[in-house]
Amino acid sequence: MTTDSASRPNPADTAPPPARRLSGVVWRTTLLILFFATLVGVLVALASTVMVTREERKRLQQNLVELMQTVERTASIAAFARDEQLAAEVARGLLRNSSVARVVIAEGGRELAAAGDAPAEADTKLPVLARALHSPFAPDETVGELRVWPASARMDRDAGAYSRYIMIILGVQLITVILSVAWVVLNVVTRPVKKLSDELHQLKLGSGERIMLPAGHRGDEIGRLAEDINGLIGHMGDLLAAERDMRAQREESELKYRLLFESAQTGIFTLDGDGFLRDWNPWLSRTLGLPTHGEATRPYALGEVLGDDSSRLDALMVRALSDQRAATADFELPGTGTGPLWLHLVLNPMQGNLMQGIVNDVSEQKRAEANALAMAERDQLTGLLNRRGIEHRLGDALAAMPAGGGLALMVVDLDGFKQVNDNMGHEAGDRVLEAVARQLESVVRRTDLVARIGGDEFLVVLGSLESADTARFIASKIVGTLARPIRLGNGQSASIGASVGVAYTSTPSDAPDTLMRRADDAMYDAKRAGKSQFRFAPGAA
Amino acid sequence: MTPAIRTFIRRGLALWLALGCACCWATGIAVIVNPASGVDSLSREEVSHLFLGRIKNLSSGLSAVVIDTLPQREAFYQALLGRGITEIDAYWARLRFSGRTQPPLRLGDANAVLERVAHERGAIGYVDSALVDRRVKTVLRLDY
Repeated sequence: MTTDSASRPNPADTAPPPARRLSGVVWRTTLLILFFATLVGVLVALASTVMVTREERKRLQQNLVELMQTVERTASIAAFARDEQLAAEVARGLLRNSSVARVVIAEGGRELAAAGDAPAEADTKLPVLARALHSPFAPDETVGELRVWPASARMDRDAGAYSRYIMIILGVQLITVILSVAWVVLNVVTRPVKKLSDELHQLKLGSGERIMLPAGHRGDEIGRLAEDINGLIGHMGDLLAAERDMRAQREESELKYRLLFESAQTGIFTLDGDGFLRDWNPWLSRTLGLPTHGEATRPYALGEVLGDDSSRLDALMVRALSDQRAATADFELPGTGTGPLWLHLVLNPMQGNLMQGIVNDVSEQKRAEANALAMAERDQLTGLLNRRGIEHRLGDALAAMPAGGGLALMVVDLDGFKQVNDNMGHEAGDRVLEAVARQLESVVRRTDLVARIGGDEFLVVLGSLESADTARFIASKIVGTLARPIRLGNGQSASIGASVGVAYTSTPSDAPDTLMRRADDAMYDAKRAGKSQFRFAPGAA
Repeated sequence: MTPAIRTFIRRGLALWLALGCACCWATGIAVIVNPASGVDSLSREEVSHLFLGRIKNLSSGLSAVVIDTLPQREAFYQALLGRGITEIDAYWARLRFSGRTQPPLRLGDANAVLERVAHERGAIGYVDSALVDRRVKTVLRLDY
């Protein structure tokens, strides 16, 4: 993984071009302002129209009342004198006023004078104004009536014109306000924000770039926004750098561990709770004949790989998982060529029911160990088992005795060996001992045991005997063979003999040292009886 | 106070008033018409309507010829309508300027009025009640 691919993808690749964004904000702001301003304007215009109409009506009515008051005296006189001409004069005078549609001066139930056209029913939005005319000389006496029809249509026209005038003024004001607000919003808020947005949009994180403070906004919220964004960018850049460093470190250590894993002369693997291998390193593949990890086509169980030791492996896994401690065991596998393959297995519990395993090839150690063990149980000179070796095996031989069979333990003590040693030297004595060892081995079966347990004392164990007769035959053969002179190679020869004590048993529960003592005693009996012969310990069948 | 006494006082007062009026006969104004006009008496309202042009005919149907007596004019309208002569002039000014109704004829003295009334059937005028003679008929008497 490279640091480039980890850096944040540039959003400019996916987002729409920033110019459209600006127009979006500006248009939306302007449209909203326009909408609300228009709404308010229309409401104000409607309200003003209604108010203007009402006011206009009131004004008109007031005008008419005043007008009627002005002509009342004359109209009264005309009505009183029943003078149609004067009445007509008054009516015409009133009609000259544009707010008046029709005038009637009535006297005692008849029209003294009428002027103007009666307006259509639909147009008479305003009531007909009527004013009683009193006698000029007797104010209590009513002599007639002055009736005036207001010019509603004209009034409406006036009111409408007035409203239109107001609306035009409002409209001009509205447009001015909208343009001003849009301009102010554009220059004071939207442009700086858009500039910030564009810069932020095109900013490459981690490049050390910073956003420019919009001019004239140093102290206000937009300036603070820009400063905060710069702070965040710086912080984020630091974080990115820190993360990059950390990732590099991690990659380095990962590489280190991978190398270790790949090239270790040790098997490393991960095991799940069911005993299946999760991964393993090349060493393990090579050693156990597994395919390389990653090319395996099926799951491999460790038990299967290790052969028939699976139950021990199960126990080991249980121990590791339940104790949460490392558990170790050695496993022996049939090897190729140089003997068995010994593997030392360590299982370390991990999280999630997993185990980490380490396998080492301990075949060499095992071989060395076995050799050391073999050396410790062998006689250096003759290569026969020593006392410890025979004691170690005697128990096994007793236990392996078949039912109805028998086992014979013979103590072979050389006669005249001391003279050979004294007269011909230790080297000759050693040669004699070696020769005796070979001769003893040659008279017994391959499965029988031969040991040198003392200076000139040998032990022969015959297992799986059908009867004591075989033991007797072998004993006599030993005595006979060892009675012959032994050639020492340089023209010399040594004559010795052997006294043999035989302890025979068919009871597997007999203790080895009891057998030894009985054989020893029988050997002394043979010595006392004149040497170069064998004696059976008493009690033998 | 008993009703009898009250009645006595009232009658006495009436008698005194009647005597007083008789004493003051010479100070009244008499509205006069031609004896042949067919009119015997006129109410104060009828007289004022005639002199203000509201009524153009006498009650008998004759077209009325209304005559002002110049020296008596102020006193007459004061007595008839309780209004000053300026008000009456303003009234006529308006009618005369644009109306059809004509103000009363104006004659210089009582004799001319008497003469005119005596000779014209529809004429109606007024003179000092002391000057009324048999050529004319009094239809209404106004006191100062």
